[in-house]
Amino acid sequence: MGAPGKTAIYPLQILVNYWELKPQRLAAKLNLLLRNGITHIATFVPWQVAENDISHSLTKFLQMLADRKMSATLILSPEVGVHALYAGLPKDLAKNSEIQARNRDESPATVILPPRIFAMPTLHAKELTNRYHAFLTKLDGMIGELGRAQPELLESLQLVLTGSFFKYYRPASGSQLAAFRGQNGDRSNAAELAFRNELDHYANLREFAAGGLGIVPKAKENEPLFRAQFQQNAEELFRIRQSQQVRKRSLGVDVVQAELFTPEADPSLAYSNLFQLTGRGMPDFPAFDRMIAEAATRQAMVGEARAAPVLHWTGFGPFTRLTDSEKQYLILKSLLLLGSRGGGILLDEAEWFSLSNAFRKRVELFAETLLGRELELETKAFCLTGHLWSDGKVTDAVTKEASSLFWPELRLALDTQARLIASPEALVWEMEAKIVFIEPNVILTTEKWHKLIDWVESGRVLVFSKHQPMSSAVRADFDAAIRTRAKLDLNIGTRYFVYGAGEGKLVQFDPITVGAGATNAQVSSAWKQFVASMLSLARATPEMGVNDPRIDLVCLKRGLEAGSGRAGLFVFNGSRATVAAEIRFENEVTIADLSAVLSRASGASTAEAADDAAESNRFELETPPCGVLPISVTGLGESGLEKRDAGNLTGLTARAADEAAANELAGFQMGDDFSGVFK
Amino acid sequence: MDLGQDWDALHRTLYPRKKSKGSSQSNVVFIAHHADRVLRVVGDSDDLLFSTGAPVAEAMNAIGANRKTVAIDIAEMDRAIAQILKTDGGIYEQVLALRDELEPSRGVIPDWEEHFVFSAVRSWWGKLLPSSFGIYLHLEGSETLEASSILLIFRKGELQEFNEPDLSAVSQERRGDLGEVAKILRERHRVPVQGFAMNRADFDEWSDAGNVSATWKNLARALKQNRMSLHPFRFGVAALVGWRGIF
Repeated sequence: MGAPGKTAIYPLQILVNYWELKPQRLAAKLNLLLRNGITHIATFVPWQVAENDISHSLTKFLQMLADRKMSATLILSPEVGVHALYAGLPKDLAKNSEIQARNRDESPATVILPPRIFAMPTLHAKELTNRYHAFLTKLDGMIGELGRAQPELLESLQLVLTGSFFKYYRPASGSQLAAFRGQNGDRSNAAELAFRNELDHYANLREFAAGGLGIVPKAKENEPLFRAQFQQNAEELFRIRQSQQVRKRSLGVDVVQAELFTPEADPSLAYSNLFQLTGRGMPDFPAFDRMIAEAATRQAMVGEARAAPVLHWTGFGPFTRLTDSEKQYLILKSLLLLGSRGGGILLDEAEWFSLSNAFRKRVELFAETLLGRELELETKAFCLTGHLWSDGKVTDAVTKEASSLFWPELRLALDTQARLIASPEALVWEMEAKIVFIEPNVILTTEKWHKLIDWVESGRVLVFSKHQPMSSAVRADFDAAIRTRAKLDLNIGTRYFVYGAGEGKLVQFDPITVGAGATNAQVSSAWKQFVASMLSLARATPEMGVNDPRIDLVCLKRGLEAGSGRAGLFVFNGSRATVAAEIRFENEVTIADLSAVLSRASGASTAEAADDAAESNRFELETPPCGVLPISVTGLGESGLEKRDAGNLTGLTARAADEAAANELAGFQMGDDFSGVFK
Repeated sequence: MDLGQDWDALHRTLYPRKKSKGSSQSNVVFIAHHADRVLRVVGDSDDLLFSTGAPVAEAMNAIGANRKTVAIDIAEMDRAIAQILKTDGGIYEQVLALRDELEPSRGVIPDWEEHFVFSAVRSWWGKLLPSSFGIYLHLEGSETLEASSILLIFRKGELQEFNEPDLSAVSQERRGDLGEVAKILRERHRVPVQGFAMNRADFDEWSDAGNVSATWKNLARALKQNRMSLHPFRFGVAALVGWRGIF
């Protein structure tokens, strides 16, 4: 039995909602799936449907699965994009305007998606949470009862709990230029009450005691910081409480914590969805494409466990109106990016079978490879933020200028190899990561600080601001620690201090702001330089790049733990034209066709094949519109780093020899080629 | 007996999936703007993405005269969304309300092709039809197309319930007789039910063509050639179908 969040989720989940089909048709559907080799399916269990399930359709469905020796994933949390009115919420709750969530603009948080445009309820309302917990308890009892009669039935079940509506409490107006721009969060009366209670709690904590040098919880200027923290805590609390309702009677059932992304329901697509619905306009393919990376670069946590990121393409949203090529592109990209992070995709059964056989086979091959952890998305740098679904921007109360932000720069520099987290617990999951940047909206508490320091002391880098909000206890702890340590005082446009911490380094920077003798462009340039220099200090620089912005590179390391230096590089072209682009690597590598490499049976033969190929650090590739090129690359990671170090060393030695020769030998000129003399 | 609402079945039956290659094409470009600044452009050209953040007039120039442009201020869209949250029903009713509600700052929202079944019910037919009734669509499959059936129940002109009827308790013999099925459904849901049996491929083709005169002419022709049948056969219904093809 796996603990919540620790069990693997199958990367490719085919969605068949049991409540959408009559028993006879459901049985026929399951038989058809079985004939097509599908033995595992996923289904939503809408709250409204389960509450009124007088015909015991869920029990019958589970029995049908057991009879066919099939397994299923049941998604229990309320989610958007479910094929039911009000996303399957009980109608009386969904229609109750008094418990509607309010976004930062004080407007209802709406979902623009069939079968109905509706306003989401607040997950802070007691009326809603109590009833929701009762629904989960009832379901747990039902599954437990079934399990007692047929223990094998429990083994074939996986219950999935998600973060529900929390990430959708964003106004559409603020999400158009960047999906998670600005502050996200519920501002309903119930949420505000809970926030005030949490502020009281912080104010009463000893580490925030008045008179210290730390920040004051109830000060007006600190409200946005504590609000971001509150939204993050509220989501985690919701997740923990819902997981406490299951496995009380259904002992032994597998429970998985997931973060379900439904791009079609995201507020960033609200206006284009509206146009698509009212004017039969075309679906916003580029926005879907961008949302995949947003989902893959954010890591939600539940306590110390990771929530598996899962991306859901619905059965009647705008996704269904895309062309087959566009669908295939999005499916492959989302599968690779989220599957390589321990999650996967959820795809409507009819959509799946509408795609060609060859494509389905290809996707299944990648899904198997991802399940076997043969391809993993590496994390080079972390960015710790106060709230996972808001950006880290905080506005200076005096200058009204936004503080510097790490996340946009990290995304530009490292793309999907940068990871946004809101809990330091996420750090220990990615041993290969070298650096963590702390956003200015993070309040450092003693617990957080100790976790960060523990991680840094094993040879990593922690970057934080001189004005980082922290509790009085952390401020005192930090001031005492740095007094005894030697520091390096450096300035590259941004002034920063480097302190030793075990085998790692603490970097405290002095943020520069627009107006203090610096223009916007100067600040931006200095900031870029600072982030690049920190990545270089931590040896977390990107290993490759492409000369055309229309091309996305996704590098999935193969056998990451073994440090083999092998990778699967996927070249995505989401544009409408064929793009010929040059891919540059930091050191010389060999490339081959990844599909051929993965299909080969033995690992030895792949290595031999790679050895035959010529080494280079530049490759020109032509990618068709909506095309995906899978390439096998050998020579990255540690072995690539060694090559680069050796190359640098050779260069330095040659230069030193040249300089020595120029000093000692009359007539010798730097740049003379003497290589021919030794032939 | 409550039939319920199966949105997936409704969507799959009325709006069948179309296979298409390449990138999506459209001659209409959508602009979402805030005051004079473009926030989102949706169109079938990669270059349009560069118009994000530009003044609306500049974006309109970039789009050119070959394409129709619809620009709507996001404040207007937020207002319209807030309004339609108050309407009852599903997405179809909400979309109709939205089309009335939304006022583009430039261009006009393109005509929306409502499904021909809904258009007919909402047309002058409404004056002749009873206040509550059901339409049972029995679509026969082929090698490439799955057979399907759906019962649509309208009350006061609005689609209230829709689902594949559960006929598991009905004998195979009675299930084969569509007249019998319509009778069973009438008794079960207490509304007059008109059954239409036809080929799935034909229905998909007509659905795709939309509510145009040719669709109704094809329907009338299919009725005449026995490619479509009514269960029970009501002369009035056959006449209504024929009349729509003419007018």
